[in-house]
Amino acid sequence: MAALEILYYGRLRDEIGRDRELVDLPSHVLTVDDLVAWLRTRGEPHATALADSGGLRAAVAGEWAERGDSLFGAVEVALFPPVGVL
Amino acid sequence: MIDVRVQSADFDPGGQLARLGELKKTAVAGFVGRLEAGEDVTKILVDHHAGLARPELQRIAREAGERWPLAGIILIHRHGRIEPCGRVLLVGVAASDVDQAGAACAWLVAQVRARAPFWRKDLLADGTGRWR
Repeated sequence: MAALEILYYGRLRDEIGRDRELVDLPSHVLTVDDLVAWLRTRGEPHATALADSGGLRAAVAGEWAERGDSLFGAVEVALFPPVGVL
Repeated sequence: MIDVRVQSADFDPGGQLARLGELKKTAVAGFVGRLEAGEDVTKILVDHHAGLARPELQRIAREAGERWPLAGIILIHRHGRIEPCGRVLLVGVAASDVDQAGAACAWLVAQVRARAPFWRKDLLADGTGRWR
């Protein structure tokens, strides 16, 4: 298990009810996609908030990440909906 | 000259374009984005990823500088609580070529809209909020 801080932005802040959380990552969670899938299995509110996984974006350690990118060595991951205010 | 700012404070579009005018190029092109909102909206919260926002705006500005010969680029994106119809984004460029200044400004606006990590929540008079 590895400790990982997850930051939420946009609507996810309200839907998950917090702007960050610290999780112990099981060993089978290797990529951003794995993380989203695993969070959904933890029940509500994550299951509903992260249901539209196609629209989710991510950043790992302050850099844009693709959904298949590895979380190896990461201590922080940001999850958020599509960006833009205009 | 690239000047990128992420700030809660409002900005003066005329003053920013005047800074680009000091570069003494033929064209200064500018864009101001405002937060249009309905009557029921009392305030707009602009959330942002602080660690990603400024580097991403800098990347966008650098890419514009590689596409067009620009003498100056200013990008300002606001965050925090903003009045309905308040200014949220300023894009300004200075260039020797009129068409290139216009094209670069339009491209920058499109890139910021698509890539800059900012999110909008309309705060309503009844105390609720609505993400957009």
